[in-house]
Amino acid sequence: MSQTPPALPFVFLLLRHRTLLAGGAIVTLVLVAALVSLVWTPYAIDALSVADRLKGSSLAHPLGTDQYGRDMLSMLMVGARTSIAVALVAVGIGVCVGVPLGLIAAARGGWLDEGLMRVNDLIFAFPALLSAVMITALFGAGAVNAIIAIGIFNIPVFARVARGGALATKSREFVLAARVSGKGEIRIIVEHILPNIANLLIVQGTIQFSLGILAEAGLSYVGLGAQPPLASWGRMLNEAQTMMMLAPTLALYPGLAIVVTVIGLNLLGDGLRDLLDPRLKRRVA
Amino acid sequence: MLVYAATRFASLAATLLVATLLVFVVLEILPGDPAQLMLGLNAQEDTLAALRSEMGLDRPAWARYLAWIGGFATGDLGTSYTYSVPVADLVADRAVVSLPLAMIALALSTVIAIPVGVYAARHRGGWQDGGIMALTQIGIAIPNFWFAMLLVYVFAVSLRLVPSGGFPGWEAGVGPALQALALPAVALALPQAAILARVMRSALIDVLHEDYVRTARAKGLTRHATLWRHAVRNAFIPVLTILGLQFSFLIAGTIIIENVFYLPGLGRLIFQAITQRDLIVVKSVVVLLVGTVILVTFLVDMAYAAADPRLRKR
Repeated sequence: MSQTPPALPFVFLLLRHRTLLAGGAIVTLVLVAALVSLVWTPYAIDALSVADRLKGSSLAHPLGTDQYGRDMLSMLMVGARTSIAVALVAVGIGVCVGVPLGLIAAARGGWLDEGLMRVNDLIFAFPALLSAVMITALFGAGAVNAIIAIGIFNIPVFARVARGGALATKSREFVLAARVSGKGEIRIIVEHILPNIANLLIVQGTIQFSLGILAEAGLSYVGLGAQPPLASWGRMLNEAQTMMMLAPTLALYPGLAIVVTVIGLNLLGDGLRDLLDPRLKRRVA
Repeated sequence: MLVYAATRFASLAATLLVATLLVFVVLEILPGDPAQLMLGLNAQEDTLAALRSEMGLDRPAWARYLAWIGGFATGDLGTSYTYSVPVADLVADRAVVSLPLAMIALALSTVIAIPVGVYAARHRGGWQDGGIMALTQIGIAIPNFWFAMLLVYVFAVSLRLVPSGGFPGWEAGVGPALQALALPAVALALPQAAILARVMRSALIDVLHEDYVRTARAKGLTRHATLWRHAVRNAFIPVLTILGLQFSFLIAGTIIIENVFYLPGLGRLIFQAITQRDLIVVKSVVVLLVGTVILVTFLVDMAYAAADPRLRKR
């Protein structure tokens, strides 16, 4: 396929890349739901109402209510906020710590590179979820510890991607030209290497974002993530499990929310990769 | 090959050692005195001191670390604070649930993923490929515990084909035990199979472009023979990498899945031990799980080197 001329308006770009469009639409929808929940939800999520418990879909409660009479739609909206916040900050930790480490490792090489990569391998040896369970359980359950636990495991991922990208870029002509013209190591990294590995980092970012959402859901499901009254999709599934016989839809909606959001993010990641690096498309598509 | 194996093994031993040190230090800096925990807040100071010295808590940290590491060799990992039984026995009891579960899940995901991935690659761009890719996209996005809940609802609650949870133990016979492990294994395996099928497909598509595949066809091999004898075998290298990585995910997955199905495995043990602050159990189980992951990575590396001589030269 021919490369898209950069002058094409953004809308046309989107239409050419259907995965990007679909992923972008889903992610935007979830983002909007999360943002709206900051200022308005149909009902307050800490308003328990025995009279309204386990209602089916109706005009008043489009998705029904749970066993405490809380509105499902409102819970899902707040849950979106929790998921996004946790996953986003966890990705932020990974980028802010991992990328500089990877760049330093690539620039310096030698024992520093070797050492950093060995530490990476060590962290990879710990099954991420096992360690996250340990961290949250030992230092206290809650959204903040969940973020830290997930974030730690994003660090080696971004370090590895940044290092690989930087090593590949380091020997390109324009970097050599910059070095010859007398630019310092830090300026070369910031002005030449970083812009060239930004694509890789963005794509990895969407992947880690979707993994973060799954991890948050898992931690909350076992009771180690967000604590009530804060709503979280994983926690809603935990509460729904005992109600499976009576009200299976309680387990349906939060699960669907997770699956749809993760699919949206994965599509967005695939679309971005195709858009930013058309050479890959032949192999993957 | 021998030199390569030796260096890899040295690196394995080093990683394992650092991992044990890390786990020990993390659990050491935690607040809380195990002796106090066992005797309660009203315990006399001299009783506490006696228990501490009995448990070896009055020795310096490095001595306790060495004793713990030595315990892995002798099989004496100390005594659980809450259950008052040897940790090694506790682990052995639980491992007979977790290990078969992980093995069945790994086998199941491989058996499903490889033919599916090959089929998709052969029909690349067709509707079969599109359908399979869409399904795997969903498989990757499904949290395994939610998938497990759906399976329970359909096969245990509605159809009553299998139990919804619990484990009768291997004493009850292989049949009932396998029945109890069926849904958990499927819940673990299918999301993994989705990833594996995608890797198999793209690896095979890469390989099918290679010259030796064209040569094999040119010398008169049938499509079928070329595919299975040349292409699939070469595509296995990236698949093997992912299989090694997936083992780590599988171990983590069992922790959550065992909780969904109330299976008395290592995952549930570690969970209970963490909530009860039974740290002597926590540290040994974590190290055993991490050790298994490191060992599997090592075996995968060795398998590559055996399969592809070029990799030994690194």
